[in-house]
Amino acid sequence: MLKSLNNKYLLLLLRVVLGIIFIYAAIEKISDPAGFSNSINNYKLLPLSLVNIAAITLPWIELSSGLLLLFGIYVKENSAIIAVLLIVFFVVIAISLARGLDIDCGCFGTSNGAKVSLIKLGENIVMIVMGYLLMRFGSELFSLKEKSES
Amino acid sequence: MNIKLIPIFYIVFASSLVGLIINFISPNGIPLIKAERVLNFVDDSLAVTDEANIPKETNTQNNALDEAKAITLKQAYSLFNKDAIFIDARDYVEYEIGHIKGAITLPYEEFEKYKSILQSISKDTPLVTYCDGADCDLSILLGDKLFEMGYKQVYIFFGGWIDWQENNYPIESLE
Repeated sequence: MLKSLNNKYLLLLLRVVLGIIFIYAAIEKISDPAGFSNSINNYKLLPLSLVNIAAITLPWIELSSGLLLLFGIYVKENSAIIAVLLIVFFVVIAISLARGLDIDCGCFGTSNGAKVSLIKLGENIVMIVMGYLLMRFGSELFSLKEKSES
Repeated sequence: MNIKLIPIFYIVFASSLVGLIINFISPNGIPLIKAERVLNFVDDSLAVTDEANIPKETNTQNNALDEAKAITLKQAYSLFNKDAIFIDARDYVEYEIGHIKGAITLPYEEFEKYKSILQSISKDTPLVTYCDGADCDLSILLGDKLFEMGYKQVYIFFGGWIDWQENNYPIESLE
């Protein structure tokens, strides 16, 4: 059944959508590092000493992976990075929901104001599936890195 | 799946490095180690032990603080009986369901949308921010924000809505 999803146009669509989502999310976070640092801190999962390091580096990893994915460079590798990030976000949001925290998700920076919720978990699952398909099949259509990894 | 680990390592490493460098030169940059927000309580002069005898005209004008400070339930109730304005930092729906009597709504997460409510409040007015209770930070975040905006008497009622209700202090609710 998975094989039927190995369609180059579908994979291109997934690549572009996931790439743009990550670029957008990254830019929102980069524009307000202090706000994003507060968002991370509100989850109360990272020690205070690591909160700002995460707030500084994470959005740039998202931005690079998003851009490289969009342009079809190291598609499988960048999808893997994105999938791992999404799984981490999923776990973090799930823990927060279980603990009954009523906090800003911080998923797209702080300006968006969305809370942690089951909907966020659902969005994450959809994106994890997208990332998995790209990891598995890659996508070389309109890729800047033609005939890449063989 | 034929995924190479070396490019992943380079991408993560290079992106993190770029992030650190840009954070270092950017005016919006943040310190590498987050400073802990130590919530200091106001000294007890504000807490009027005999709540029944609070003079209405108590002058709070010269009580400018050096930061937004936390208050206990008793201090909150004392301020409630003076001219302090209570500000609910939770979202609007929670405010609608129930809030401290007379409190205004200013959801921290939709600050830009609701901030016009502050226009009618002078910077000398004592403000008390609150949210659900000890598990929520919105009252602290909102308190700090208001203090930065120039309000010089911002009190954070950390016990919040839960403490207030448990003590049967005056509320307004849908029920």
